[in-house]
Amino acid sequence: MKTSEIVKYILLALGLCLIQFIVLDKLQLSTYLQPQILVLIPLILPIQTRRPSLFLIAFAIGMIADFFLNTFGLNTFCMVLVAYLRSFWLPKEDNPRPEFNVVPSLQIVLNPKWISYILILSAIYHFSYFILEYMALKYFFRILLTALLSTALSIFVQWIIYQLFLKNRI
Amino acid sequence: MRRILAFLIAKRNLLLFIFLELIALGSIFRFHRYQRSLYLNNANAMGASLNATQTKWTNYFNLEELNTKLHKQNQGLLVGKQDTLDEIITDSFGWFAKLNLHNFEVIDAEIIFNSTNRPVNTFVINKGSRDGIEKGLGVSSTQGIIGKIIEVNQNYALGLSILNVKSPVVMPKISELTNKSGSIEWDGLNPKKVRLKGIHKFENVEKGNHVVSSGYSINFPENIPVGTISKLNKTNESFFQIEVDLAANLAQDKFVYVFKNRNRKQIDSLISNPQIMP
Repeated sequence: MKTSEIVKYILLALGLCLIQFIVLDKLQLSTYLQPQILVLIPLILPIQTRRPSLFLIAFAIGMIADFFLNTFGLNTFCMVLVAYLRSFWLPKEDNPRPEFNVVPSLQIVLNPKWISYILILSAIYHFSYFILEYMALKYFFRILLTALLSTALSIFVQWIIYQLFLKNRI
Repeated sequence: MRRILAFLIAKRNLLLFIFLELIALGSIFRFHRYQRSLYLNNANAMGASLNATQTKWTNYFNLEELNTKLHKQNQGLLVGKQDTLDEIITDSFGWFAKLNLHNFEVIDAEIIFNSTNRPVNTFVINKGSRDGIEKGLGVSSTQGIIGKIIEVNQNYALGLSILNVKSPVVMPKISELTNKSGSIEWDGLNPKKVRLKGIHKFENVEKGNHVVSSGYSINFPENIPVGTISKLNKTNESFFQIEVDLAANLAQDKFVYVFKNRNRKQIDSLISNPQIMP
């Protein structure tokens, strides 16, 4: 990866962290709406990123989020989980399948495959996050509803960020 | 040996993944089991200071409202007339005058971080061990009980909010009924309401009764407001289903008081002494 691209990734990560810490976490919309947009970071790292590096980056971002959001390892766990699961979704780094059409990169092209990739992994992130936070089966349906609504809002916020800051700029 | 090494090398990604997840799970379980957090160690002093800076800015916008409140309270104290003081007592803050604080030291603090929309909500205050804050101390705003301290560092302390689905922070009683204590439970949904449990159906409870701290805990003095009973349902079980409107506004209250029992250490040493337990 070029140095300029690394800088862009760092700036994007910083921007997403600031939006998450200063805006989304302070809004406290509802118990059902707790969007976590930091999940986007491990998802858009380039496909060439080696898996150990990917895990460690996800772990570091999760730790930072936990320190600032007071979430006791929840973000770290979910971030590493998503980083692990993304490899099952994506083609192998040494054998990119042309039919996937889009590989993770800053040059986001909105197509159904890309959207479903972000949507499903974001949903997994939110679902595991709330399962761990409630840690009680009696809240299962509330967890499910919270995860679905938060995922939807998270995707909406990510789309706004894309439209405002990323589209035609990176 | 070689096979084991080959296996470890082949599965290194999976092993790294499991290792990192175990570290994260360790933090999560540590918090859930012991109600402790990793938030207030040295590594996150930056987070607390960011919150402090943000609070400094946002406080500016609440100055007018605060001034009016302080002015009213000062007026009451300066004039010293009983009826003015009574008005304050029924308004807010004045319940302090009714408290028996002989055994308690009161430390004032400011909330610099607060959440109300999570299942386990927490808050951070700008006072720490340097100011005498310790784990377990009760925290209340000028309106009512907020929570209790669960982690302390030199300059900041982390509190577990009364709004949490895991663990009750106060043992309450209904002030109109003598010595009838119950337990507070939050359903995780409405940050303005909690449930009072353990009150028998034969008790003479009414809508509008006040729920206060019982004094059976060393964390809070007796009679700190928790809230007012807003709904009362009789069920098939032996207990009432009671809904309580919280006295404190967890989303807005900024200035709080931490209660430190002067005999805390002596009481703790008695409770935790295994030799005297049968």
